[in-house]
Amino acid sequence: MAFGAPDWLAARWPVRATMGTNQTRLMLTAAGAIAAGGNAFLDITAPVTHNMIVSSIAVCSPVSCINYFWFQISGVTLYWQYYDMNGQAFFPIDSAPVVPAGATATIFMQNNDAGIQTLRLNVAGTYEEI
Amino acid sequence: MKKSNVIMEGAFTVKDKKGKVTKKEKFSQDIKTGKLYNSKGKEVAEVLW
Repeated sequence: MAFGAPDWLAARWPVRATMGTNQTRLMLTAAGAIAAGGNAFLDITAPVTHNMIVSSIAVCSPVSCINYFWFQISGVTLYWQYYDMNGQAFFPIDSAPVVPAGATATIFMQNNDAGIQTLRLNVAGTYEEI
Repeated sequence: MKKSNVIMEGAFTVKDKKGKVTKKEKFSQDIKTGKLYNSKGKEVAEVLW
């Protein structure tokens, strides 16, 4: 682990959720210390009255190592990517997937490094009343 | 926390190599007020574990 104790980021970056002043924007961040070969996933269930439009997902690792992540809506995988060189990956690219009202989006992160590492996840989007 | 139809619900789960859940934290947010709640329904600034 290149940056001190494995838990340094998780301790400073728990799940946080903030919204814009018009209360329609979503910014969610989560981080967890994940053992070698372990994984983490974030489930987000949209309110029954609102669709959730996902404008950005960023998955970040503090070190360059082999990981992968995927993104699902209602169990359907829309994106799957390995990343290693820069320790970060982004989705969506030139698209804005909609999580229908009441449906669940899942973001999965796999730690394939030999050691424990803290992976971090940022999700940004907007809510749209149906 | 009073449940309403504008609540976003979430969960962050960490598993080890064998698939055993080592940490799981649920949270929710009222998207009208922006208030965030932990798994016990208490309003919090952030969900810690």
